[in-house]
Amino acid sequence: MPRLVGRRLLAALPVLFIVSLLTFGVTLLVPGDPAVTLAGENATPEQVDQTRERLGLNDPIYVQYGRWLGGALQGDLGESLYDQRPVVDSILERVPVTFGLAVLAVLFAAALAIPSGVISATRRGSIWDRAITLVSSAGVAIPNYFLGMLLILLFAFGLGWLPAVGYVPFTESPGDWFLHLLLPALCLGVAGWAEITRQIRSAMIQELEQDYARTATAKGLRRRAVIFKHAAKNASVPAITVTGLQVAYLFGGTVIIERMFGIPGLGQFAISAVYVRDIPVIQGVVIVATVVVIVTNLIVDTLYPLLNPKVRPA
Amino acid sequence: MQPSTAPSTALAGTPASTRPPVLQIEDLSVEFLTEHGWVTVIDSLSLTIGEGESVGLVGESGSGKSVTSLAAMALIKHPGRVSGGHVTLDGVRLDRLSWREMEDVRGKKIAMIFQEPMTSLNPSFTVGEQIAEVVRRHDGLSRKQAAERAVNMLDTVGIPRARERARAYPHEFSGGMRQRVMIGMALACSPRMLIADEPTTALDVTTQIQILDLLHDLRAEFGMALLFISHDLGVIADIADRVAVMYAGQLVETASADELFARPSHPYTRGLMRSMPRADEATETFFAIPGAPPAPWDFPSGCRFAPRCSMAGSDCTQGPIPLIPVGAADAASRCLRTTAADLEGPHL
Ligand SMILES: Nc1ncnc2c1ncn2[C@@H]1O[C@H](COP(=O)(O)OP(=O)(O)OP(=O)(O)O)[C@@H](O)[C@H]1O
Ligand SMILES: [Mg+2]
Repeated sequence: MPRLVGRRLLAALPVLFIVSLLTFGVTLLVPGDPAVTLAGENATPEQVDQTRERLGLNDPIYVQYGRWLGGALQGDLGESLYDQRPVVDSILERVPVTFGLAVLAVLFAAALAIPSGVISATRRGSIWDRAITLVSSAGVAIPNYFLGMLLILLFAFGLGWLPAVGYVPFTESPGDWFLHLLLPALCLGVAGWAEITRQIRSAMIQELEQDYARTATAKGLRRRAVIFKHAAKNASVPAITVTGLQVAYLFGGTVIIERMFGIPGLGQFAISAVYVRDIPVIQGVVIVATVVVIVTNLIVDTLYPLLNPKVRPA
Repeated sequence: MQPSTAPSTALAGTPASTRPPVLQIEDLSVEFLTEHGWVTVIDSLSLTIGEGESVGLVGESGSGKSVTSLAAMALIKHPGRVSGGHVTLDGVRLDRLSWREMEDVRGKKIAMIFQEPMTSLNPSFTVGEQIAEVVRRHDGLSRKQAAERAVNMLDTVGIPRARERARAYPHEFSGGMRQRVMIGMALACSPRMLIADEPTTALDVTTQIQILDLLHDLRAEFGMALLFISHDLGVIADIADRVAVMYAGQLVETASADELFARPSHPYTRGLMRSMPRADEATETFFAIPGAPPAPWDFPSGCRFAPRCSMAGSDCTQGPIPLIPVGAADAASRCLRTTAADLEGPHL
């Protein structure tokens, strides 16, 4: 197992390198010049030039990139062009916020997908199955922000049960933290729920058709044992795979959701950085997001052997 | 150790009719929903298996052997349904039991071994656990006692180092060993009735013989009734007291094993016997019944075997042929010609 983890982490390095290169390239295409913005409204061309020189923006691209890479390898992602704070510090401050939101969203998605997927699979063609299929298709189709608006209108403005926007750190008040993240997490998790439900449904249908499920029934096991013990264990592998994939999508979704619900997480940080072309911040956030996705995949991979004895090392 | 046709249970000497029945299949019909609509696949089949008796059910692929055995377990599910008749186990009509009540019967009173040893075990659980859960479910044993029973069963079915192997997963076993596990699982609660649906078809010849020997010995040890399904008459000869021959969803002949092998009545049975490879013959000529069995939606209205039968006459296709008693007690044949004296020896 440690061997596997080590090998996978090693394999991740080229991915990180390519992602950082791509991000660097893309930021160059973004219109606007950070030096102009930074130097202020009434700056003379000379002042703008000085600023550019100070930021190292006059150096050739590969020098700029090399400088960034050198720092990154030592855990230094540079400083924001605007407030000169170390990017690492700003990111670390916001990671727990986004992490909490994402974890809640995944938990909602998975916790709701298990019953809905199993009911769909075991009552195939029933009114329940059709209702779940309909709602989950809608869940995939509805854009995040539209659903967010509906939820805010209904639960915050209409019923007044939940706060519309804002954030309270977990360390301050876990209850308020939860209440503030409830709507955004639901909104963020809907697409994942729909996707995981679909996966569980088809995996369970497939597993319940297998010969071993017939054997389990022929042994006189209770139906719930056939479903939740025998079929579920085999269906859990694709279900967990798709859940892992959802984490990646979900991370992308936080950008819009955080903005909409006024949550000071990584996504919001990234957006404001893009507006002002704060290259080190953009780079940093993208790299951190990539690491999160890689680590998630790694976690999923290490779960497989626990569930499937065939891939368990002897 | 060679399998033999010698009686192996205390009751084996007595004729079937005087033994209390364990499994009674009466007038059973099963149909499936296909692109041809509802198609009758099993047609008014009756079969009684007495206490400790071993009945062989034989027939070509697609004749309805597996469907019959699934019906006996009340395991027919959509797109199939039992459209007539019923199954009685130990005096209890299974069609009158709820699904939950049926769950108490399966694995406890009637158990089944399937045709496909490679896929019939759950790949994600140890074989020990898969046996143990049956006895936990039916005999209410504790986890520890059940695990112990599982080891005993593995030992009984001839798996070496049973205690250690109980912790192994199905993919660590060969096909023959998996079938042993399936047998151990089926016998774990000492059922009164065991159905073995082609338990050796998927195995190589040596393993086949070993599994047959094992079933033979275990039947003596556990004293259960056995419905042994095969498309191979040679295998049936080794294990059955009585034989039932199926063709196109119907029973076409039934007789004691001795009677059937000495004097097969139905032309189909005789065809099956002729197509058996025989070790004592130097000539390597293989006989096969000409033609192929009809599809269920194409069953002829008269004798279903008539299109392939060399003895068929115009009277054979007039209408359904009943099972007609022939010679010995309990023997019957679904053929207008078999009562006649024009029967020759088994090899025509
Ligand atoms: N789920 C199903 N849907 C439609 N038809 C079915 C289904 N299961 C079985 N049948 C049909 O029922 C008939 C009997 O099938 P069955 O499996 O009992 O044959 P068998 O005698 O066991 O053959 P084999 O020796 O190949 O196992 C076949 O014509 C088959 O096509
Ligand atoms: Mg079959």
